[in-house]
Amino acid sequence: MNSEDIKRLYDSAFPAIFAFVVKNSGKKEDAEDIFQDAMLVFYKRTKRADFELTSKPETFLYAVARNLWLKKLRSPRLVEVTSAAEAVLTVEDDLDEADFQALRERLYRTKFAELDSDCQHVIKLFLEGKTMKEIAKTLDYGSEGYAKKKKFTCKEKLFSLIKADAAFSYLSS
Amino acid sequence: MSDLSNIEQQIDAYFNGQLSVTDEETLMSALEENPELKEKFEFARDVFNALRDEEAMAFEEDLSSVIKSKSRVPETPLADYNSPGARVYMVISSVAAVVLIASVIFGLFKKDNDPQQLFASYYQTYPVKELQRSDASEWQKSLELYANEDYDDFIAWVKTNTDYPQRDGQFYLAIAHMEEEEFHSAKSILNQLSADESFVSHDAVLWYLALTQLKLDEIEAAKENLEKLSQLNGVYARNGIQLLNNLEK
Repeated sequence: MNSEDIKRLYDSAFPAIFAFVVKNSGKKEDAEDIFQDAMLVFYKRTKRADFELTSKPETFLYAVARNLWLKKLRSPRLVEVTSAAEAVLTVEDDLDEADFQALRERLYRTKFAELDSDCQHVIKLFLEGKTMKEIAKTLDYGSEGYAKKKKFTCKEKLFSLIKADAAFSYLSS
Repeated sequence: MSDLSNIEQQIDAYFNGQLSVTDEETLMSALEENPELKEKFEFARDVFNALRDEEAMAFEEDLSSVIKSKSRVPETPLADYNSPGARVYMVISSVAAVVLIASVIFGLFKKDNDPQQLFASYYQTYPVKELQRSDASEWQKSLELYANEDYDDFIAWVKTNTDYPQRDGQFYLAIAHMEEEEFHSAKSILNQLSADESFVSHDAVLWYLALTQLKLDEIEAAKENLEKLSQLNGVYARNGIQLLNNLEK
């Protein structure tokens, strides 16, 4: 799926998603975030060998976005939903574990981007298989010990950022 | 393998890609006996796998760029003009139109794209991220000078030391010069840093470089860097688009 496909889907699917989200306690930024989540689910599903689209992509995206937004609304750590609103909202549980896995992964990447540049570098180099000695040299750290300590604190910082995000709880439940 | 710190070292080696197949099997068996550690291991594995998924990262980047570019075009969200929501939207739009007309009239008498004014309204000190108070390294201590707004001493420290992360150090040095109103020094450093697109803070570099150029009345150069910045993602890119629009008024 290239940028042109994404633009076409944005034009055809986003207005309805936007209208739904803003009518249900959300803002434009929420709608954009949910649209991105829905697009990621769609993209990941198209990679599955057994995936068969039985509706128009816009319909699929709207259904996914709607379900995700309702799930988010019901998360106690996020938005208070009035009982009247709750009564008219129903969630079709059509998202599977692989979808939530994809969304959690997006959250992990978003949180990684929030780390400072030093931490991003250390973790990237570690995942590339670089030794602590090589990391210390690349990043001008004084010693291998400092690089090791830095890698540990950066990793822990990333994990705490993820776990502190309210989305982590509703995507994991 | 029963020793906990040994298991943790093995886990590190696993994620670092330095564990042999035999050791990996031994590690997995050890994790089976320790559910708490196994849970931590699986979480870390998921996170690191996500960071290695380049295909998904490229897709998310494309997606984010499209949304950013589309967000610049105001949309009409409610097709049903008779719905209560649409009526509220139209009232708000009418009020906005009146405010807009008033702003245009006001704008005839007031120049609102003055570079110095724009600089003053957009410039904010770059914050020190993740300062480790417990970290005794000289670099971290020098960052405390920066965090405490002791820019003179910070500049002196960076100029007389070499043992610090070079790109980050130079970037903070440039901001310290900006704080001291030494814009030519800041520009020279930021210009050099801006050539390195692999620097994680590349967007921040372009942003502060454009602001420096704005302050020095080098408007065309500032616009050029803001154009480059607007092609990226994130908060600096969004600010860049906004500032560019203001400059082009």
